[in-house]
Amino acid sequence: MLFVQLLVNGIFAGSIYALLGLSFATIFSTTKIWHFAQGAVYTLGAYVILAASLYGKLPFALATALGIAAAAVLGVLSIVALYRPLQRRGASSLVMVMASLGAMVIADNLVVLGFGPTGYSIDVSVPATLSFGPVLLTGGQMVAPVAATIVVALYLWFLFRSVHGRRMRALIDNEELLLLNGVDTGRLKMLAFAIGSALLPCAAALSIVSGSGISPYFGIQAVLTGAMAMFFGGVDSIEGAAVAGLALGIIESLAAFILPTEWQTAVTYALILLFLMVKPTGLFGRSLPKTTL
Amino acid sequence: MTTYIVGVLVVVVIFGLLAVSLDLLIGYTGLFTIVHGALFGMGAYTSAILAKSLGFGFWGGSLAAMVAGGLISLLIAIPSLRVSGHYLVLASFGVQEVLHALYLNLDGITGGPAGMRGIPRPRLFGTEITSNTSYLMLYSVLSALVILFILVLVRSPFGLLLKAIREDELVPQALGKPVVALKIKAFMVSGAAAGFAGAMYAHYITFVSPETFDVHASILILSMVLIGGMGTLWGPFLGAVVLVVLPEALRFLPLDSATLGPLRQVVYGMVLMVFCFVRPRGLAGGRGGIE
Repeated sequence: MLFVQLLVNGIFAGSIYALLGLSFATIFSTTKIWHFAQGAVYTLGAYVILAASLYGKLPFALATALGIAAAAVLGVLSIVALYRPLQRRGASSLVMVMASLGAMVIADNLVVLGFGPTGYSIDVSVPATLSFGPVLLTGGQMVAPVAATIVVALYLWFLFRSVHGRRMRALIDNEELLLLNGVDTGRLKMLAFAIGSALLPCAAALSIVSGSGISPYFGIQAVLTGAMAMFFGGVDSIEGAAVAGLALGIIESLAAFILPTEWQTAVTYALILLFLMVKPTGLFGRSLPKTTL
Repeated sequence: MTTYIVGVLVVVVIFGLLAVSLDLLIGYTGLFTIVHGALFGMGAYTSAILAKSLGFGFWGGSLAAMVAGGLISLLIAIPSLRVSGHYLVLASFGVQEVLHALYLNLDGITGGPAGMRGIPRPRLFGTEITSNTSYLMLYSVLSALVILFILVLVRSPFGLLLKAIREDELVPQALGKPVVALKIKAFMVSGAAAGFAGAMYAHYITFVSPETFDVHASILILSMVLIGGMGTLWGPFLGAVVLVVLPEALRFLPLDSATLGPLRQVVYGMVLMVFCFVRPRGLAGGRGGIE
């Protein structure tokens, strides 16, 4: 029974990780930028939700929508005001990573100055906890997988059925070919940054719904989880990151079956890294990233 | 006041060594990792644990810390044998988190979140080092020796080969040079130096706790290398001076500590951003983009 409970917990965590993986993959696979400032976007998005629902007294869904809009703007800002000017100055990818980290440090600590270092939690009304014998299913655990599935389905529909989505997938493989066909890849990358960032508050909202608090420094963990999911799924497969994210959550949760809970994350990372050493292309990837740092 | 300034300088010397050792990887070999904070911690915990449980002194502990740092660094090097670039960033970041989890959760060995207290001070010729001034003298000499070793290393044919790997891995490979072995050596030297810095830190502060060695420590050391100028060795040392002294200087502002802490971080982030935009080759490098 413990196993079933852990599986339920894992599916819940995995649905959040799937969104984080999708977010990281959308930005990284199309632009090959290590967007660490994504951690700051995650934090800021969560705090917009917090401010809107706690101080603005807005309903949670509306607050989340505001968070999503804010994150999308921040995402576009990161490429327009940060990465593109740096690229124009001929900065190496290493300098871009450092600038990204710098932006994250600044944003995280501005949040601390504004909201204090302690965490917050928001009370959201969710369905009551169901119990199936000894297995408990909290309201958040019911809402999260459903909501995540809807978001992922909508996004995949966009990715595979719309013109822009197809172009974004083409961007993963060959930017020059797109340019030759007269596609403005610069705008396409802005779109990737907007969508990738907009996915973050969705993940934050799901973790808030389940009762997890938000705190100023929790963004960088989200970046690492997203990056792990993407590499696990395969660098050239955006949709693979969602599946891998779900798998990551389930593995992490099931690790508690044999180990104390504080080791869950460390063991999961170690397992994924070992897997990647054996199979660097990941679960669904076809090729390895060409550019090196 | 003098004691305080000398104390800050001791920290400068320790972080200077860390930055220089990371520069060997990033600046010379072109291997980008985010794990130096955890390697630093590996050295600190190794010497602290040996001192507390087996009665090791500073010297024995330092030696063990170097070995431990080198071995863990070797572990991180393994992924770079198969894949490079982006995977190394992920792998090193992952190892950073795993090691931090070890420091935090191995309660019985590392003391868990509370850390370890009462690490003995170094003894030199039978006398215990206690004053900050003697610490500064001892650590400056030790740090200078290691930095000198790295300096000789990068000026040697070995160092030239590392630079060749940075510029284009295929060329040294085509010339029949053992690229994999060279990378592993660079990783091990860098890790051993970071471990040594950790031992110096543990025996100076006499207290170690996990949050000193988290991912933010790794980012700080990376920033020192970037601000100073990659691939110059003395540049990263200068970067360490800037990033250790600047936050200390802010301490004298009339602010309460709840504001001061985050404000220091904001200033540090801004310094980093300014360097990325205005002087991406750091203090020691020239103007303009990287090579």
